[in-house]
Amino acid sequence: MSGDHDMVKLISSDGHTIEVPEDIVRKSQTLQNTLDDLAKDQLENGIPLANVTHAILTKVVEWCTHHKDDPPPPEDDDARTRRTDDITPWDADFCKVEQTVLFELILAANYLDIKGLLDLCCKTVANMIKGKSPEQIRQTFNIKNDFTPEEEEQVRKENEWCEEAGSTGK
Amino acid sequence: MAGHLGGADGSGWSEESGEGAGGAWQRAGMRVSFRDDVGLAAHDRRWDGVAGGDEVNDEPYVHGEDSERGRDRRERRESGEDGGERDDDDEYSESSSHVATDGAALSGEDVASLRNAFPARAGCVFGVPELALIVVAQLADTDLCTLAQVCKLFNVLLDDPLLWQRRFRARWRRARPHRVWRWAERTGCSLRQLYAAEAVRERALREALTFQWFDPVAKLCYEAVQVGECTYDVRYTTLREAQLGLVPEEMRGGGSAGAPRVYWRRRQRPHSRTSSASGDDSGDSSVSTLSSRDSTLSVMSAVSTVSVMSGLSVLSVVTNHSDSTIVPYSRGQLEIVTASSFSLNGMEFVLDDSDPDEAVFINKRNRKHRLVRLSGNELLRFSSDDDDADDGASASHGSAILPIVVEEEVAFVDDDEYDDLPSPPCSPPMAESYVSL
Repeated sequence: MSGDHDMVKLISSDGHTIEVPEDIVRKSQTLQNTLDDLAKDQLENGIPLANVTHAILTKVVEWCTHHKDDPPPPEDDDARTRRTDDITPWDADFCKVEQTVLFELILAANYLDIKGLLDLCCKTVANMIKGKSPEQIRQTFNIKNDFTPEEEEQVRKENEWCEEAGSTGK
Repeated sequence: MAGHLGGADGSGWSEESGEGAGGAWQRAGMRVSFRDDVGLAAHDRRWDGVAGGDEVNDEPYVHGEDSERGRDRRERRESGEDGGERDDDDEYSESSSHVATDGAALSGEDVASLRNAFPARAGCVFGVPELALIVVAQLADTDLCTLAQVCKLFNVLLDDPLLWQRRFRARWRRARPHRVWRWAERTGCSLRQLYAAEAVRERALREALTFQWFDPVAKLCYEAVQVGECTYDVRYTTLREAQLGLVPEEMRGGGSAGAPRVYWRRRQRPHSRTSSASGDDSGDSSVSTLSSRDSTLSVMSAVSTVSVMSGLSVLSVVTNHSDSTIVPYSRGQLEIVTASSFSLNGMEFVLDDSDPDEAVFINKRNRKHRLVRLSGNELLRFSSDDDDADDGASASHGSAILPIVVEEEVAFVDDDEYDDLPSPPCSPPMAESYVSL
């Protein structure tokens, strides 16, 4: 395998090539597997990423570069993943992007299997939902209410238990 | 949630009301209904050979992995390589398509069209179930309930059993979730539904703790959740026992589902809250009475309700109390002989014909104590006319929390069918000295 400071070519879906240090590329589990599986000469032409555009790939690399020294994320833990107030200021600024970009980042993080970035973006989306009314959520995400009035009333009743139980989850 | 807009597998879509099957839960905004065609045989077969079953699989859920993992496990199990190892998550995942898809189910195309109806920027994430799950996993229950009301797709997404498995573990970490999965499997009740039931029940328990009620309340809260006609036997014998300072005292047979019952005693009895407003000075004596093992019935001078389902295990305790005077009462045993009369602690209650609007049962002997069945949802409320005294008490109604022991299953019938019922045998009266209302 290549040394730590070797550069890896990543080819975005729109044909742009980015050279990224291998240690940063390895933040992606998907790319790490690719690096491990392929011979060095097979990597010379670059790794095509069919689902990631250049703009998003740049953002992903930016995030990976900033977090290159972070320890590996812990395994899934229910209590931990439910927290959304543990976003660092840098990450919060990083996520101050248009919704389209944010959602594409989620898809890219999922495709590239970058757990930290995926969690961050999902937390950001979750924070956009928290504390809002159904109508506010619709406005936020430009979602059409496809319930009939009867259905809407029924669903509302079905979800009253939260108010009755004073439940906020963990 | 079963009986509503969506099945546990994310594909169910029904508007079946579930009326009657889980009427008491309607108070909690829940509708309960069950499929008739839940694959019980298949489920039972799947759980055959599961011994003990108290071990909890806390293997973290990895998004998108379950179906493949479950398939691998299934293949290994079928080939005998699994050595009988069980995985509660997988067991549920395998059968999730069986669960809680009442009535007409949404086809995959319908769900896909729901996703496609999304604007691209939102649909691209929420249209991918595994990503949507990650997002909603970050949300509190209240936000989830709000989210379900946004659109049909969200409501369907929130039926994913994996989501609720995870939330079960997060919220009740020391519980034994496999019992939940198993019960859900067998009854066709969705985990979303069960989670809501548990949350409501936990709230009742918290109230009991807040107002320092006694063992009966704790016991009731622990005993069983009934949804529809099935009993979900929940004994979270760790965390909440510790909260209550309870230790299991003994095991007795005779649970409504054939399961043994656990009775608790307190390690340290808290101070009894009494209310002078009720004009009842029996609070002190209640303490001593309640210390008896047989004293497991409290009467509150507040409006409390006990939900009783067919099968007659206590479903929940819902209170709206203004005080918490506790009056001694012996352990009650409610044996409903017919729908028109029954005995409770030897007191014979008969249907009061004078009230055509409600199915009111009155104490045949002193005609003071009343049990009310709210029509349609099998709800019993115990009240006492003693409280009509002009003492200015806040307790205008006395209500009872009934430690109902199921002796026989009773199916309530509509009022106009009472006349067709056979005449009931009467239980012998017991000493009413137990009763101090």
